[in-house]
This record gives sequence, structure tokens and C-alpha cells, in this order.
Amino acid sequence: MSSNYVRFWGVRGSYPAPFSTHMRVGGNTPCVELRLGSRVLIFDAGTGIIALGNELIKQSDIREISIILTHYHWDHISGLPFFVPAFSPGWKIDIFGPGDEPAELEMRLAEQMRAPYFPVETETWLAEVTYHTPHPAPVQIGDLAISSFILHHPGVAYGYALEINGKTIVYAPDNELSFIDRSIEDRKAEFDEDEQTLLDDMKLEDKSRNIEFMTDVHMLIHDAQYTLNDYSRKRGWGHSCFIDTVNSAIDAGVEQLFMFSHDPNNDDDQIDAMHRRTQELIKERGSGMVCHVSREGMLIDLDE
Amino acid sequence: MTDSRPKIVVIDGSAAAITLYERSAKGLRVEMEAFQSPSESLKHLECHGADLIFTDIIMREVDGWGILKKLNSWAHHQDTPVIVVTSKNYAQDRALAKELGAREYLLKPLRSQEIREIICKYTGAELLNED
Repeated sequence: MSSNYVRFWGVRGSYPAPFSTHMRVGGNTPCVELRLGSRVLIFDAGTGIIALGNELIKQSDIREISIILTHYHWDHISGLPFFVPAFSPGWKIDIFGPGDEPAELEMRLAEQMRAPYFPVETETWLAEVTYHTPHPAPVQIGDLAISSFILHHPGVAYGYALEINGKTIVYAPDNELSFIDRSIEDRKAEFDEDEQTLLDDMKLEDKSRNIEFMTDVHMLIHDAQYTLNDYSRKRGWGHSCFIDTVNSAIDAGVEQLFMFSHDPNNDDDQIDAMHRRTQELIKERGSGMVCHVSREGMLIDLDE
Repeated sequence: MTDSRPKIVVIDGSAAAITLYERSAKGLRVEMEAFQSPSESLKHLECHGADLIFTDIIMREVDGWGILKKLNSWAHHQDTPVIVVTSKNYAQDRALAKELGAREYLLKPLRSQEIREIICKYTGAELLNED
């Protein structure tokens, strides 16, 4: 195995889906490992981080890891109470996440590990845990700079971008694209001609801002939770319709798109059907983009 | 003579949105300063008072939450009404805006007339005499 890779440990949005009908894609919530030699970066700490922790604890070469959180919704942090390295002496863990100061981040994570919700508190962690805020200045981990940007999702949520050997990787697990487009369409009849011209400009600006973070990205891991039908009922829930994700990624010149945050209501066959539709769409638009369904256990070699 | 027109500050990364605010204020006896850069807006607001502030949430450098927190930390902006105007239609954001002291939380897009009504509501702005 290459020493530089991305591995998906949890790809499911919202809540775990450990159903037999979902196993080809996987039921764990967001967790993506970026391995660069002996450096381990973990994006989000959903239930997928539990198996990663169990794997890490078996080896003895690595004792320092970084966990980079996009936000504090349960599906992104609920694996932490079961992350064995945190409870083990000799481990050094740097945790990055939204907050005005490191103490706020520490408090957010401690809140989910408190009676009566959980029997063991973060005070029982034996690892040396340090908290950091990642925004707006880029996070520096060794020689690696990770920049953040704001996602369209309830509350404060960040996406992350980093460059490795000239290849840009972007992680944006929960992000509702094209929201304002539809808001403008909904009210269009109420606006006069001058206002409509400005709103058309606003749509263009918004589209350009929406795809700015994904422009010419080599590997984009992005929210593609809803079908068109789902989105018509769940607009404003903070997730994207997969059609918007694919179109935005094509517009932005993304090389490889990884559909992520799969809806727990969608089984393997439904997600495969969505993927087939993306293939048609890519062909219809004459794009060379490669689109994958993120699947638990999937490993992408960064040296190829 | 002292200019007593109400001062309005607009913070929005969208040039088109700023044009909409400016057009909406035409005909009202107000003074409007608009910023696409939230950092620049904070530099201005640190030294100047305002009678009303409109801010978006999703912006580069400093987001709307950062704007609200900074305003709360300045004594001269304790009573400045702040209106959040955003495309984020989420209950969590509405609650956070309220917690941080925003007077209203409005969804984009707004009509010119709606912007004018907000300006008049919070500043008591009068129509300019066109003569």
C-alpha cells in the first residue's frame, strides 16, 4: 500500500445506517483519513472514526494525529467518545474545529460526553489533547497548510482545502448549494424589471462564490445527499441535491468528485441509481470529470 | 451645518446586493456606506457610529457572526440595530443571530420596498425633498 492516501471510514450523512441494504456503501457517519507517510489527519469524527481508532491502536509507529472537525452536529463528532487513542496514554492529539477560541472547542466536545448522556467524560482521556481554531488563518500542520471556508449549513460549519504534491483536495461534507437560486426563483414574480436584473447578477455572483472553493480541484469530497425529489421536500435542511453538486463540480473544473454524506434513507440501489444519473449528466455536458460514490473502506492512492 | 441624516452601513460580499441596497435608499434622507469587505467594514465601524447595520452571514475573512460579536464588544455599538440578511434559512442560524443581538433575521432576496421599510422602521428616515 502507498504511504500517501485518502481512506473513507464513514460516508453517511445525518445518522448511522447499519442496515443490510446499505452495506455496499456503508452506514457510518463522516470520517475521512488522510495519510501522508507517518502523518495522520482525520477529517470529522463521526462513527467512522471508531474503526479507524481501533486500527491505529494496533500499531506502534504513529502516536501523533490531527482531527479536523467541520462542525459539531452529532453525525460529525459522535465517534469521539469511542475513539480508543484518546483514552490511551502516550498519544498526542491535536483537534481543530469552529470556535472563537480553543476553550470553546473543548467545551463543545465535552458537552456530548457528560452525564446523563454518556458515562465517561473527556477528563478521562489519557492522550495529550490540544485544541485549535482553524479559521480564518490557515492551519499549519508541519509543512502542510490547510485553509478553511464557510459552508452553507446550519450554524457555523467549515470546509477544508489542502494541497499535496500539486494536487488540491477539498473536503466539504455538508453544504447546501444553489439555495439562493431557488429563493430568487420562488419570488421572481414579485420583482420589478430593475430588481430582476440585479437578482440575475446576484445569482451569477452566488454561483461563482459557490464554486470558488472547488475550482480546478483534483479531489472534491462533497455533499450529494438528496435526489431532486428529496430536495424539493428538504430544501433548507443544509444539504445538496446531487444534481447541483455534479453540475457545480463540472462548472468548477473538478477532476474527481466523491459524492458524500449519503442520505441514510437511501439504500445501495438508490445510491447506485443516483450515480448512474451522474454518469449520464457528465456525458451530456461533455465533461471529463470522474465521479465516484464515496464508500466505506474506499482507499484513494495519492501517489498514482 | 451638522449632517443629521441617519447613517446606514451595509456589509455584503455581493456587488449586486449592495447596488440593491443603494437603489433602495434613493429618495430617503439617509447616508449609506456599503462594504463588500467585512474587514473594511469593521475598520469603519470601529471609528464611526451607525444608526442601522445590514449584514450578510456567509462572507470571506469575517462572517456575520464575527461582525455581530465585534459590534457587541464595542461600547459605541451597544444599541446599534443590526439586521441579518442572508440566504441561510436555518433555525440554528436564526437562534444564533437572536442570541448575538440581531434585531431581525431576513431571507434573501429582499425587494427594494422591503429594504426601505426596514430603514424607515429603525431610523425614522424621511423622504428627500425632490424639489
